Order: sequence, then structure tokens, then C-alpha cells
Amino acid sequence: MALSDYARDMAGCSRNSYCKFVPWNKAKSWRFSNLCPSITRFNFHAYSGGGRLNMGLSLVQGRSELTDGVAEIIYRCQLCGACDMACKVFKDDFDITDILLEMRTHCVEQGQFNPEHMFMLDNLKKEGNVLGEPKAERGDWAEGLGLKDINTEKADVLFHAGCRYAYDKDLWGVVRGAVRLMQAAGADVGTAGNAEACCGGRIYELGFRGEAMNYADDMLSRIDASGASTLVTCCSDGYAHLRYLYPRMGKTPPVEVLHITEFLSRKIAEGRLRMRNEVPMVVTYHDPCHLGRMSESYRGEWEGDKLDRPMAMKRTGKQGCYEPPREILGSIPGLRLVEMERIREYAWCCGAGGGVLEAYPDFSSWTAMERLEEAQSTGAEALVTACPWCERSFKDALSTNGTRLELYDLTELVLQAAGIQGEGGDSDAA
Amino acid sequence: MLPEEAYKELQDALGPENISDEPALLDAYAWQPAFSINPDVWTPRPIAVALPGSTEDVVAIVRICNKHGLKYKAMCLGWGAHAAPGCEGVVQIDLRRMDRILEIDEKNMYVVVEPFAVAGQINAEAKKLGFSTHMISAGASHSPLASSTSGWGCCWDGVSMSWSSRNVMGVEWVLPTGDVLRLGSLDSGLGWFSGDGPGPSLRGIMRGRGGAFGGLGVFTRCALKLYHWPGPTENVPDGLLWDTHKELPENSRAYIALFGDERALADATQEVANEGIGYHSFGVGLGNFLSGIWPHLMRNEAFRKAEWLRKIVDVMQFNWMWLLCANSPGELEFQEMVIRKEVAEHGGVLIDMEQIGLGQPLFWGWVLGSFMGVATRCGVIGTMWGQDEVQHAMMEERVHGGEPIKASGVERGFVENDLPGSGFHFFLEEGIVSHYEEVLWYDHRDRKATQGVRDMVAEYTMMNIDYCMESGFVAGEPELRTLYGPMEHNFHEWQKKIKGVLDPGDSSDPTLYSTEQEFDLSSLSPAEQARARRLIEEKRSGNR
Amino acid sequence: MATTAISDIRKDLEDIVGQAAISDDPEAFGSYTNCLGPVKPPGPERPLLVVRPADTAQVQSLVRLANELGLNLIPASSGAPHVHGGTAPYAEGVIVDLSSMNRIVRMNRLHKVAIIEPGVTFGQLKEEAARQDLRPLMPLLPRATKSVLASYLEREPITFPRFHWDMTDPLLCTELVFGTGDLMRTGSAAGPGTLEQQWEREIQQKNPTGGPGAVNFVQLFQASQGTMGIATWASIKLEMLPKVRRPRFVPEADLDRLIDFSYRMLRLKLGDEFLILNRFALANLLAEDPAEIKALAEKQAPYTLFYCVAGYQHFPEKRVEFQEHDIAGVAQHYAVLPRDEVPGASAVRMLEILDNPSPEPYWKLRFKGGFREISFITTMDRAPSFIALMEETASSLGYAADEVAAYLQPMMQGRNCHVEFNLFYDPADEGEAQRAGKVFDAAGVALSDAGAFFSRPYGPLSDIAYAGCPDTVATLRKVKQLFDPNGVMNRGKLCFEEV
Repeated sequence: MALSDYARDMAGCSRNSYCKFVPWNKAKSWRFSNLCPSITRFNFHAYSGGGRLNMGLSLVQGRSELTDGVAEIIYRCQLCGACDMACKVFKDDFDITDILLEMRTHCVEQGQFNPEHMFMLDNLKKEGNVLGEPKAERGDWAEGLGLKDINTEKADVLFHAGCRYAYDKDLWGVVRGAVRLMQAAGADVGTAGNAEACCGGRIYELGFRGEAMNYADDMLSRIDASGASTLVTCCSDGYAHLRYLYPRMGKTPPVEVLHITEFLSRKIAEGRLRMRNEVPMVVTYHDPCHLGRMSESYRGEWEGDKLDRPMAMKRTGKQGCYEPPREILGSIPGLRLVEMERIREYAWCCGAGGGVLEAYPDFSSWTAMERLEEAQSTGAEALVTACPWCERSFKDALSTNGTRLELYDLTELVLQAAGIQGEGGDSDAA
Repeated sequence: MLPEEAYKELQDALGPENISDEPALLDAYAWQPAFSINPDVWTPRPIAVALPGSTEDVVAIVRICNKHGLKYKAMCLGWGAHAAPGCEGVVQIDLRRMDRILEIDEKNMYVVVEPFAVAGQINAEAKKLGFSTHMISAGASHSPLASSTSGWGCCWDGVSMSWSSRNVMGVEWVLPTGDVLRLGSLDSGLGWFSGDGPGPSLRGIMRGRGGAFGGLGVFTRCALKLYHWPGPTENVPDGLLWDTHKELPENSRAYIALFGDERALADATQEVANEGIGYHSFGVGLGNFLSGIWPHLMRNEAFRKAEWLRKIVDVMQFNWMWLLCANSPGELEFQEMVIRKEVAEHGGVLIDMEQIGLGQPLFWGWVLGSFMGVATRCGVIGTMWGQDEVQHAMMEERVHGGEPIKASGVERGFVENDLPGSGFHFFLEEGIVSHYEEVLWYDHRDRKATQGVRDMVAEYTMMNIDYCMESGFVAGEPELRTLYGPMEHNFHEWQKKIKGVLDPGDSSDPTLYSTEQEFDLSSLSPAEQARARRLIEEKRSGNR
Repeated sequence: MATTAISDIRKDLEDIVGQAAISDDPEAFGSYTNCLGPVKPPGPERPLLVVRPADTAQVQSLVRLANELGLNLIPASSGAPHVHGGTAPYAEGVIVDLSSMNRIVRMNRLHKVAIIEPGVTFGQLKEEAARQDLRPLMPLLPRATKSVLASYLEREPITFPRFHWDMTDPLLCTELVFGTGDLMRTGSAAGPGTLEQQWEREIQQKNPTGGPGAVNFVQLFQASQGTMGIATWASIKLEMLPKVRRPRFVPEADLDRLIDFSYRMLRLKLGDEFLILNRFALANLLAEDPAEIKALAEKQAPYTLFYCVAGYQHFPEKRVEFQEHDIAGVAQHYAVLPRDEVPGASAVRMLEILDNPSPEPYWKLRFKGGFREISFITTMDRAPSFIALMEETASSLGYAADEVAAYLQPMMQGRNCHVEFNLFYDPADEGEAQRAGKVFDAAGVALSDAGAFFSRPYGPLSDIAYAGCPDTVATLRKVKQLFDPNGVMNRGKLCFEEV
């Protein structure tokens, strides 16, 4: 596909601004009824989902040119999918997110590169991750966990750590804890260690589609080698890409893909993992975009007028992973969940996605702060999430101002409730 | 092109991040498929977009534009061509940064807002205090300030919540010259409680039935009436649209009545309205409904050919809905008694919508303004004529004037086949008048459709003249204003005079206020053109 | 001013209205100039003539002639006594007395609308409306001679806040002759088509939102005291004649409490007639003998709210029943007690009084024969402070505070409030008259300083009102220049001295 192939879809925008706000059934206040970080921060209509389509149409019709300024507008977007979801409450004959992805590819094709994104790509090419960390250290996070090495042996479950978890030592407790919980629940888990590489989703989002294909192939070969029937990941980005981008690229993973929250909630429901300890805390939960609305599976391409697409082929954001995290929180004794105003498919983004964290850190931080304010407004003591990018984004934002809010990954709370304390502790979960 | 010096001045006034002349960005402001009688979806591209954050910023922009001989046009949410520049060389003032709700006066039942305080946001805050804000048919994504000060402004809740133009109290207004005028008590520094006086009300200059649509400066703040909401202060249902689930509030009901013909409908509903009944009181053609829910059905060839089925749907075109939100069980009982009596006496059938599973989504969809986006389902919606007069006059025109034109548009393949008479009616102010808009669903990407709809505008316009009704666009479009002016005491000339004294530099985009243009009758057949000319002449001579 | 001789003017006027419709009788002049309200110094000019046009065409011709000759036209619709000074010429001119144009052109029951000419009085309209089970929305005891159209054009408050959605109510569409002589029909009456053609299409000229187009000409004409032109007819909103009515008094010492109760009632749209009076105002309305007024006032609670709930065409008893039930709950919450009577009158009697124009003499004249009225707009919650200020001002100037009649009329369904004070005096007693005048002058300034909004300022109050809003004045003058470029309409009124 090329951007011009989306001309008809872009022209479908009826310019009604529903892409800018939470669906109005869900508006609880003036303060937290904005939905799209980009238009909320930069204000020009071109920064909204609809405005981007209008701008894209202008480009393909030759009314205007792709300048540095236009490329910047295109890249100042987390690709969080909120506009797509809000538009589709009514208007479901085009898919804004697909068009936004295509606009980035168009930028790349036209040589409009963002320097930070180029840096990420170079990192990926050199080290297999967008962070630029040494490939040889990719598996260090798993040291001592007793995980199978799928390069040499088979496992029922292939665990994909993802770039952020693999290298961000602040988050190792999460990923290691996740593995411990899986093991405690009796799972036969393996990982690729240093052979694991980026899923490629992030660079797909940056417009480098060809490179992303390579990494998808790489991932599929690892899955194949592992002999696993299930792939579990803590990385929401990876989870969404495996479920949507991979099939869209014709690379459907031959395994069941689960986010760790899905895996854990199943095990809790099955009684394989018991929440024994009280965690007396009032928390609020942030739905990561890529675990939520962006994780809806690929539904195939529809030929012809998309207005006639059957429901089963439309991604509306409603089928994201919303219940498992809440079921887990609900199963933890003593813990009380208070919801923010913008949740589930109409959740506000953490700010990190779409290359924004790397290219526009101020915008990323501003977006995160908006969410932290919303979290604070609930009266919760802690904000819980289930995505390393969200956690990184919130951690960074919290460090820059005096917001008093604890931050947890969901896995950390499960560890407490299950009584799996720290590194190497004995499990009494099963 | 924006002169470099003007750009620099705007940049200095607003900050570099709040001004742009990037062509692609500007084109995002020039894409306006809705509410236009222009077959071309692109409107004139502004020469720059400015984002003021305060009244002072607006004043600065207006003065800079005046200084450099530039035109400007303010917009809020921007849904529709009326929000965009109507001519070349215009600076678009996007009021998005001015989005605050400044005050809610609970006792005196009004809210003070900036231009980009959105109806859904205001409603969310108002509901917490037991109030509702009036929402126009654009739904929750509209600016009540824009609707109140600058044009149009009625909808389904009109029976209990009036019109936008009649809900406005004090107003802060940056005149086309950059001077700031405050209307009513506000100018005397006494607060927002009155927009009229001392003496003659300058609200009369601000707007009439139509509005200046950006032709008379920029409105920066205003007070708007709030209305009692007897339901809960926590109003978030499960679901987003048709999947909405939430019990109706205590003493609330959602009814639909089906009538045999327009006369029965008009008589019964007027009697009910005269008793002041209804939180919302309106009718929506079933075809219209189905187009929102199920557009592929309406397009389906088998459905088109199934005359018997279409006749059933057609019968249900004469429907009326009441959303009741009573303050007490006794009031609800009374309201239901009246409705039942009138429906029965006029041979209608009354259905409790909750019993057919539609009560909750429709009730909350309308009350929260979340439902109206369905209007964009098939592309855009065109409301080709809309007037406010008594129910009987509106029904007469709908059935005998409008439906044949709609049927012909369907036949010619311009618009979706959602059945003639598929528009929407509603009452205003306890039935003082009714409003009707004929709805045309069409795909604005289809040139045949947009050109065809433009042709239908000519047909509907002649119908309006024949039925002694003002233009559906409230005579804002230059060619409609030029056509109608001489039939209506040359009001267009008075607008030009007002424009002349308030905007001597003609800087505030005059397109929808004072620009003139001949009405094009060429889409009509020679015989129709001859008839149209006779009709126009007759009505003009009767007006002298 | 015209340099043309009066005889020539008279001849020109005769050509328009006929000889019989012109008067130069000084006695007739008096009814326009000897108004009861204050006029700006040095006082009214003597009119040159009085003309009584019979139709719109004549009005239009008169205005055109005025433009040709530079005549000042002073429109008048109501009969004497004139109380606000609107008909008192501030410059030499011709009174255009519209009272002969007194047809009720049309009335429709289902759509609750009438079209009336300027000379139609409330009594006349009430009688005709009742024949169709309708009733007019009246201000508080208008004079028997009061023109309905003039009252509505002046934005006089009606006693039915529930039906008062916006400040133009109950006025709907109008026919106007601008100061230029141009004709304009407004709202849905604008056309296309004649009224007769519109009626054939079932149009009832009911749209109250102004127009045609983007101007609300009615709003420009309202409260203009004839300075923009002359209204020759209007469609007006009527309401159903109730089949059952249940009036109540709510006497109360604590005005704030009564106001809180009122806010809730109005928010719930409970009560048709709805007004608050202080004890002296109430006594003035109720007493049949002026000599009883003071004694009757002493028996009243300091403040009394009067409201009436009604049932109309459908299940009237049921409608009244639920309203009474709901009101009982509200009353209990605010700890007030609705009653059927107050000393000296039942609520039914009060309703009879409110249902009709004032009996002769005009109710404000009954106590002493003269009065000074000062009225303004505020919000209900601020009204008590204005009452206190008014009483204090009166008292400080030797006027008995307990003889200040106060009337609070919620408007726009409770969103703002007309506050009216009446100071009664004996015109034969120079001292009393002067004292009332002094209180009026002092109160005008004091109330304005405290935030009273003189939204329809008469006489000297216009100077006070306009001093606070120079931007409004500047814009109004530009607008006046459009609609009356030669300044032929009621010269010198409002802020148009120099226009």
C-alpha cells in the first residue's frame, strides 16, 4: 500500500472532531475529556486524527508538500490509537491508525527522516534493539532464573522479554518476577537469551516497514525453534505487534500470543496461582494503549466499500486486553481499584509510543504528566500499569516533579500477593 | 500569502508555537465536507492559522489583520464549511486554546464559558450539579458559545432547553475593529445575568435567527442558561452507542408513538407540547435511524426492491419520541396520562422504548449528546432545509413539499435511499414552534452526489419560497441571502449596513454575512426555471 | 428642527392620516407630556401636534415625511396616564398616537398565538383570548389603557417567569417601521410571502428568534422607547386558560429563605404566576380602600411570595395535584409554609387581582395619588441587599422606609430578577413630592453604585445607566445612526441626545 491508496479513506473524514475527545457517553469532567495527546498539546487541527487525514489527502492530491514541518506533525503522535477508536464509535469505514502508520512510511519513502528515529534504526541494525544496548547483554536480565534456552531446547512457553525489559535495569524486577510467577504456576518457560531481538513493531511505527519485516521473520524463526505452543510477553508493544502488525505483514505467529496479564489471570482463575497475602492499597490502573485498543487482532483486508465491512472485520478497540489486569487486581486481597476517568479503549496514552519518547521527550513527559494528574485525582496511592514503556514514561515524569504517587507494574503486586518475595525466594503460590 | 511582517507580528503576539502558515497544516482547515452547498469539498485555504489563548490575544490578531488589510475568521470545533474561510486571504483564528468553563452559577442557573468549552464537557460538569446544557443537533462535540453567538442552535432538547440564541446572557465580543464590547450587565461590570440593555439590546446585532458566522468579529466569552436535570449526578453508562446500558433515571421514560399520518401526529404532539411535556420531544424518520444503524441495509438492492418492506418502514416515518425526565412520580404519571390520551385519540400506537431494547441507548445517547455522530456514518449528512414554525406548517411542507424532492434525489442517485421524509422534527420551548430538517445522506467523496445535492438545494429553495419559509441555511450563504433578501424586506441590505459601521475595514470574513452572489438556477429544467422566476417575482413583489 | 411652518406640517400630515386624525388640543397634549415618571430636566417640550395613524402605510408615510421635514416623532400606544416619560417629548415634535390601531388581527388556540396592533390593551386582549380558552401573559396590574405591544416592547416583566424564557418574551414576530421609513417584518413573519399566503401554509408567525437573517430587529427595538422606529403589529405568545388553579401565599420574614425557596421552585418550573412583594406593596394591591393600606401592611409578613399552580386542557386536577405535592416537599425543605390567605385577602382574591388590569385609579396612584418608580435587574440572591439599601436611602431622606413598596419579579425562569421600588406621595403636597423626588434621585445613584442594572432606563436613570457602559453607548449610537439617520425618532431619549 502507498499513502495514495488511502486517498479515499482520508477523504472519508467528515471533520466532526469526535477523534479529539473521549466518547461522550464517557465524559465525566472538563479536565479529563480530551483523548488525543497530540491535538491537546499542539492545538492545530492537523495534530488530530482527522486533521492528519486532511493533511495526508492534501499531500497525495498534490495540494501541498511534505516539508520538515509536516513531517514533524506526523511524528509528533504516539500512535496510541485513541482517535481511531473514538472515530469508530460512529464512523467505521476507514482506519485512522493504519493511515497514520502509512503516513510515516510515506515520510521514510520521501526521505523525511527524524534524526532520533534514524538513531533508533541504526541501533536496531547494530544491536538488535532500538535502545542501542549491546546485543551480547540482551539475556542478562534472566540470569539465575533457570529458564530454558530455546536455542538449544524446547519449551511449552516462549517468553519474549522485549527490548525495554531486557535492558532497563530499573524494570528487571518486573520481568524476572513475571518469570518467577510463571514458573510458580507450573509453566515450562524458555527464552532466547542474547538471541532474542526486537519484535520490530516500533520501527514499523516509525515508518521503516522493510526492516520491520526482517525482525518479524526473525521472531517467527525463534518461535519455530522453540517448539512452544504459547508465546508470553510482558511487553505490551510486542504483544500488540504480534497480534496485529505481524498478521498484517503476512507473518502470523503460529502460537497463542498472551500478555503476561492474560497468562497470570488464567492461572489465578485455575487456582494455579493463589493470592494469599493482603496488599492493603488503593490503586488506579492505567490501560497501556498497546495492551488495550491497539492489541486487537488483525481482521483481514476488506475489498470494496469499507462501510459494508462486517463487524467481525472491524477493529474498534473494544476487544483489547482490559479484563485480565482488572481480574488480577480484583483477586488481590485488601487491594481496592479506583478507576480513572479515561480507561479501557478510551484511555489516555502514557506518552512514550510512536517514537515520541525518543524524538520529543518533552511532549512525552507532558503526556505522562497529564495521566499522572488524572491518576492522582482518583485519590489512589499508586498507579499500576502493565507495560515497560508506560512505566518508564511515568517514572521519568515522576522524577521531574514532586508528584507523590507510587508506581507499580501489575506483576509486582501479584508477586506480593502470591508471597513470592524478591529474587530467588521460594514460591508458596501453587 | 501572509505578509512576512504580519506573520512576525502574529508570532510576537502569540508565540511562535501558536501561528502557522505551513500549507499542509492549513489544508487541514480547508477540508470541509459538511454543511456546504459547494460541490467542492475543499474550502479556500487560510493564509495562516492563529491560536489565541485569551481575549487579549484575539484583540491582537484582529488588530494585526486590520493593520495589514487581512481578513480573519474565527472557528471553534470547526464541523462544517461555515467555520472555514469563505474567501481567499483569510487568517483562520482557531479558538481551541480558549477552552475553559469559567464559572457555574448554580443559583442563577448559568455557566460562563470560553469558545472551545465543548458541549459534552460543559454537560459533564453541569450534570454533577444537577443541570443540563442545551445541545444542538451536532451533539456533544460542538461549541455552545459558537452556537449561541454565531449561528443556528436548536435541537431535540429544545422543548425543555430552548434555542442557543435564546440561551445566551452576557457576552464578551471582540468587534471587527478589535474593540471589546461586552453586552448587557457585563459592560456595566455587573456580571453575566443579562445580555440586554441598557435600552435596545445589542444581542439583536450579534445575531438573529441566523448568525453572522464569523462576519462580525470574535466572541470570546458568554454566559449560557443551564436547565434542571432531575437525574443522577453520575452519568456514565456502560457502552458507547448502541451498546449503551444504564438504567433510566427515576421518573424517566423513553416513548415512541407511531401515527397514521402527519395531521394526527401534528395535532397530538402539539397538544402534548402545550402541556409543557418532554425533556426531549422529537421525531426521527425510521429511514434516518436505519441509515445510522445499518447503512448497508438501506443500500441493499434486495431491500430497495422489497416494496412491501419499504412500505412498512414508510408507515413508521410518522413517529414521535418523548424522553421524559420528571421531577416526581406524580409529574411522570401526569405526563404519561397526557401522552397516552393524545396518542390514543389520534389513532396512534405508543411504545415504551425500554421494552424494545432501545430505551437506554437512545435516552443516554440523546441526553449526553453522544448519539449525534451517527450522522456521519455514511459520509456526511446534509440538512437541506430547516425552519422553525408551528408543527402543522412544518409537517405540511415536509410531506407535500420536501418528500417528492427527496424521492427524486434518491431516484437520480444523488443521495442514499433512506426514504423520503426521513428528517427530524423537534419542538422548542414547550411547543412554541417546531423545527424540521430534511436529511440527505450522501458520500461527499462522490462528485455526482455533491453536485446532485447542490442541484437539490435549488429545488428545496424553490419549495421553501413556495411554502413561505426562510432558507434552510438561514440565508447565510451569499447566494441564498441575495435571493431571499428582496423577499424579506431587504434584510441583506441591513446586514451590509451593520457590517459597514462595525467593520469598516471589512476584515471579519464577510462571506456568510454580507457578501452577495446571484443564485444559480441553471440546474433546474427550463420549465422549472420559468416557474422559479415567477415564484421569486411574486414573493418579491408581495414584499414591497 | 423643521423650519416649515406648523400649518404646512399639519397639511402634510393631514394628507397622510386625514383631518380627523390630527389634534392640536393642548388638553390632549397633556396626557402625553404630564407623565407620572421623572423626565430629564428641563422637562418635556410641548408637542406640536398629535396624529393618529390608522395603518402601517400611514405610519410609514409619517416617518418618511418626518425625514423630509426633520420632524421629531414621538410614538405612543397606551392611553393616559403615561408613567415612564416615554411619550414626553424631549424635543419639539409630533406625537404619533397608535391607539387607534387596535385590532386583534388573528388568534389561534392550538398554537397559542395572537397578532395584535399597538392599540390593543390587556383588557381587550384578555377578553378575546378567553373566548378561545387562552390568556395573555400580563405584567403586574397594567393600567387599563396600557398597550400590550408597548408593554412587551418595553421588556416589562410578566408575572409568569415559567413562561419567560428570554427577554423578548412574550413578543414573537413584529412589523416595524424603521426611522428611515423602511418596513421590516421579523421572525417567521418576514416572509417569503404575505401574511395571508403564510396563513394558507399554516404558518402562525411564531418564531421568536428574530431575523430575517442574522439580525434580531426585535431586540433592537425593545426598550428603545421609540427611538429606532415604530412597531405596527406583533405576534405574541398566549397561554392556555387554566381549568383549575390553586393559588398560594408564602408569607415569610426571612427574605433570603423565601428566595432560596423561589430558586428551587423556578428551577423545577413550579408555579405559573410567581412574584414576591414586601408588605407595603402587597397591601397596596390588596386594599380596597386606600385608607386601609397602612394598617393592612402592618398585618402582613415582611415579604410574601405569591404563586399559582394550574391545570389546563388535560387532566387539570391531576396536574394541580402533583404540583402541590411536589411543592409541599420543596416548602418543607426550605421550612416555608404556603397558605391560602394572608390578612385581608385570600389567595383566590389575589389571583383575581392579578388576572386583570389595574382597576381605576391605577394601583400605584391609589395610596396618595402620585408615585416614583425605580426598577432594575439583578439576580434574586442580591435583591435583599438592594431592598436594604433602598430603605436606608429613603429613611435617610425622611421617607418612611416601611412605605417603600418593593416588588421582585423573577424573569428568564429565575435567572435574573426585576426589582421595582415604588415611592408614593401626594402630588398636592409639595414637600412630599420633593422628598419622593430626592429619594428617587439618591436611590438611582446608590443602587447603581451597588450594582443595580437599569436595563430599560427612563428619564434621568438613563444617564446613570449609560455612564457605566461607554462601549455599549458607542455601539448603540452607530446602530441608531443606521436605523434613524436623521434622528426623527423620539429625539433625546436614552443615550441618543447627540444623534
